[in-house]
Amino acid sequence: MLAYIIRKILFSIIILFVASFVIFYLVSLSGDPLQELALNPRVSQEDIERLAATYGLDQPVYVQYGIWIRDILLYGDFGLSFKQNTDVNSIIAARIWPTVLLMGSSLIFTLAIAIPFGIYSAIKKYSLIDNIGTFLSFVGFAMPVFFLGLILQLVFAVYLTEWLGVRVFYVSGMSSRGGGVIDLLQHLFLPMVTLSVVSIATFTRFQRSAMLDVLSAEYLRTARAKGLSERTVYLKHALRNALIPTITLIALSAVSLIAGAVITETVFSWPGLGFLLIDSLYKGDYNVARALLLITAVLTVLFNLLADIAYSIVDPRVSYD
Amino acid sequence: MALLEVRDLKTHFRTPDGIVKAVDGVSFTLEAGETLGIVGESGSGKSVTALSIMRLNPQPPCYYPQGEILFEGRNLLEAGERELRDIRGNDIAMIFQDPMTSLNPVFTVGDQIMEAVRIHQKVSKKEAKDIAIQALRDVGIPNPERRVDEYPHQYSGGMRQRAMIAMALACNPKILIADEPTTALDVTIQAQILELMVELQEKYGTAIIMITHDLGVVAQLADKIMVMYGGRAVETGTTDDVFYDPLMPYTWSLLRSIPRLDKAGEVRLLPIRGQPPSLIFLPPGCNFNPRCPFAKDKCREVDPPLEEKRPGHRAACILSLQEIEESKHRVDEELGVEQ
Repeated sequence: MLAYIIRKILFSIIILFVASFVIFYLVSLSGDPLQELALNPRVSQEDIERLAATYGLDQPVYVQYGIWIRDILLYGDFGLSFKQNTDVNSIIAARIWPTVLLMGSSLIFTLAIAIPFGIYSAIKKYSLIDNIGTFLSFVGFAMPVFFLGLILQLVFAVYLTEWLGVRVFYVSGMSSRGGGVIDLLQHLFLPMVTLSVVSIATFTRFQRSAMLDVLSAEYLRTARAKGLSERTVYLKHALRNALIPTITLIALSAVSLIAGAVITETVFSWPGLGFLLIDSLYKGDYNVARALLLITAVLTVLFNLLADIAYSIVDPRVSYD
Repeated sequence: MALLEVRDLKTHFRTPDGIVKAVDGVSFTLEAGETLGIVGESGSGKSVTALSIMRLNPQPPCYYPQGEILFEGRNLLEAGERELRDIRGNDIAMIFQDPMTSLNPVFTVGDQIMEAVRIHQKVSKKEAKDIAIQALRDVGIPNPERRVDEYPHQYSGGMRQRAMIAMALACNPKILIADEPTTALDVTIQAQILELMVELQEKYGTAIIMITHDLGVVAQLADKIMVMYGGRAVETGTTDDVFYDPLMPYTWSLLRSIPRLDKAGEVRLLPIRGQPPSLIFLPPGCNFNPRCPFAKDKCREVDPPLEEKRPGHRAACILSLQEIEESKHRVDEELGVEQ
């Protein structure tokens, strides 16, 4: 097990080196940060050359990459922002909490709905509730995240506010001035739901089919033959087996949650990392974009590793020796 | 009063194609400590009969239009879920065909045995574990103190079936129903498992219902035999009666279809032609008549009841004892069997 994890980590490091170079190079291709300054008549050619020398921009790309990755590895320093006159680390640090809050609450919301509902649907297969669930799942799948976000804003933040005369949910941002926990939840709810809908649809279908696979298993007949109640048969013997594939999926889906967060945060102006990524790409704040893309790559690899480890913990048959 | 008495049991299933009469009027009795062998081919209704006793057929689509299953005088077909749960695993335990899939892969073998013990007996976790270890030792699992904490996938096929038997016997049931317990195992392990069952039966006095399509298994184990065909009992009697003097042409054909070591190369085997009957559309007359080597015209008209042909030996055949003996003789001559 330990040997497997070490092997996997070594392999991940190679992948991340390749990914970091690709990220750095592609972002470099998208533009020259000094180009804008060159168009400004008040900035002299000497100033531009001095800046280029300071930031190493007159060097070939692989040398720039070398400096960048060296600073990250040795000092944990993601460089400077060209646009905000401050270091990338502090810009990102300010945005981590909103994203963790949004993704974390979305994941909990998703699992709290999808797992019980998937299990219920499997046990009551083809019942009315199961059929309604199937229909809603397909609607959820088919709904583009940005569109869903806009619709929810319109219905729950605009129409509902007009109708009630009191604001329940907010369209954008994370908090009002001087607002407390309730205010935070009023801001959080709509983006959380938006981010969750696709995952709820995915997880419900997934949990339903995992449970259906297990329900025909012979060991459930053995469990009944022992004299166990249906409740114990389902919630102990069946559920434990049906959760194995789901736990793996949770780790793997964290990655798609990041992608969803980029769109959701932008639609709701949620001050998180996803919004920052789009913002930095628009503004040509290249070091911020690079840092965010690299963090995403690291998380992807990390969650894959976690999926493997989680799998071996929940399923005693899996060993990586 | 017999320990278990099944009277005219019917177990039917509603399916989109029609009603499947999986068991259609089966009766038998089982005394304490006795072994009954139920023999038949796939789809003859033997497993459904066993699951009916445990009331483990899924309802719906299964329903019981008729019959009684009397366990110590209580009719299990009228028992409530609570009462059934008290009986399952405690008074009547069951082991299944495939030990590879019959144990839950995510719980240790010990947990699964302890679970059976703890729902029926008021014992602490510690005591339950001791019972589990003792049960594993009883069924010949080496080093049970360590093995008790292992998962099913760490056991071999034969050991898993031993573990299943340990789980079934941990509560000291009065009846053990074994549904093809050796079918999924290789031959040497089969013999060990059967020996183990005989040994434990002698030790604990458990009555056994042994369900199998393997005639060798019942010959070795059973006191009496019920042969099933198309959802009905077609022959019942002591093991000696059924093996040495089969009266239902189906039983006789089955025995003639098995190669005999002592007559190898001298005698032709008798194949049973055709397919088992559809349990939705049974043939007119006797269920077996389309495949029967003895069939006469009257067999297509009359559905024969299970009747006593000789004392304690019943068969469902419309032919008279004399006609049966003559037919056996005639077919044997064709096959080259010496009388």
